Amino acid sequence: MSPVKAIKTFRDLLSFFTIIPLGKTEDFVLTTAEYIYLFPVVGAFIGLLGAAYYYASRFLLSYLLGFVSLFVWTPSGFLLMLLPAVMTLAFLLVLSGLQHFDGLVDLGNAVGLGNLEERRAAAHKWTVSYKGAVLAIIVEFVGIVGLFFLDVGSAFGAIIVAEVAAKLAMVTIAVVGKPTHKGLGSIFLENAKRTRSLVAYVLAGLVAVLLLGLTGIGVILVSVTLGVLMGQVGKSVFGGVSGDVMGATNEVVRSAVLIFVAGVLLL
Amino acid sequence: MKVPALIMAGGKGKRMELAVEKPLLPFLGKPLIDWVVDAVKSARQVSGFYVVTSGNAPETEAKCLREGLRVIRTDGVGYHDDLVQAVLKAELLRPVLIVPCDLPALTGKFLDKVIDAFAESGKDALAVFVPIETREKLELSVSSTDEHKGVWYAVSGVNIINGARVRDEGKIDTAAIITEDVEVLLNINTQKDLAIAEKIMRKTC
Repeated sequence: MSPVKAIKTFRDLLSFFTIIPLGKTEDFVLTTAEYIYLFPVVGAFIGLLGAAYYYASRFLLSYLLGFVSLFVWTPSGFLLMLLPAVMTLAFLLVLSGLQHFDGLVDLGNAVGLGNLEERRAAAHKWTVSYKGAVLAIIVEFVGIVGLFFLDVGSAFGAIIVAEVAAKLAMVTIAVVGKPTHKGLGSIFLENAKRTRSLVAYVLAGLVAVLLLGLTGIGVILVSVTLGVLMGQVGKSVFGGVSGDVMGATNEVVRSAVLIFVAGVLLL
Repeated sequence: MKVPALIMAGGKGKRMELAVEKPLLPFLGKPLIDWVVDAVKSARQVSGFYVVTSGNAPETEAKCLREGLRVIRTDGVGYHDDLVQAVLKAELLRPVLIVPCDLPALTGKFLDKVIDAFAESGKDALAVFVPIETREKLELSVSSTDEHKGVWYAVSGVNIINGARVRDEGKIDTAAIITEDVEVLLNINTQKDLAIAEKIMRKTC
């Protein structure tokens, strides 16, 4: 790949996953499908932005809370753990344009509805049921708890690796899953089933081990397991893997990895 | 049951106010007509297909010819007139599947379902409708509507008609499929439809 093409491809991938206004080619969605094996690279970049935001917010909050506690008592230690965690999760959701979060809500909306047609129709309505809201809140809450318990030093690696693992799980679900629809979804899934998808696992593994050591290997296992599991969930709810199911997988795996890393480090 | 298909790609697309012809309009980067041609090609019960063009869509016609597709040129008077003209020109005096070029979420599997329903109905025509409220709720435009058993629906443009009776349309007993399925729900008539449909396609397809 020429450097110009590489930059264009990366820009298209970022345009797909984030709201960053970089400009994009007309067929950026199809490009994203073609380069599905580079998802973890985009994940690393998004994770880096998330980590930067985490430290920036922590730094600013420490001054702000220090200043406030000159006048009134505040549980500043607690708030210094909680607020950056909430803000960083929120930042990542907003950065993605809430698209993956929306997939999680749609999955929750559809769970338990009568037949497959109804469940599929529920996914393209703009409404939110209490089930969708509850599922989404629980999943994001788990992520916040994970970030809350991470110490300042390990948050950097954890945030980046969580994002990488989330994108890797999207690759996994595309490798193992069947499309719900023979249109766009099958383009993603067919691309994922090529051998070059192994690149995604190598890259994600490298980043994970580099930043988290042995824990990184555990993270990759969590990502792969959840990717496969979410494939089953998608199959039973929507009859296969759709954009919503892939998005939901991103959210579930990010949260799971954050709590996993926090748990391993605490133990 | 196997039927031939006509892909209707000769409209002006005047509601879109486009610089390009509507069939060539990129949907997620791929021209609308390519999504539809792929769907028709993958339908097991479609024996073959023609693309119906007109003077309104010369570039679409040129593209189809370049790709070796069979093209029927009509006068481009309107969807229905062009359809009748194409059926007669190709001498398709038997059941024919009619597919518009503005349904990017269409699949071969869906078309097979339509053909099965037609075969079961035993009638000379079948139309696929979408409830008007479903499109309105998604803020999609509702332009063409038709009545079936006293209720008005949004027309998807997907029909099967017995070509032998194409001239007496209106008097033909018509079966209907009424569905919210994304395959026919995402009919692109306006720029806003396009944006909404791209979003839904990314989510649910």
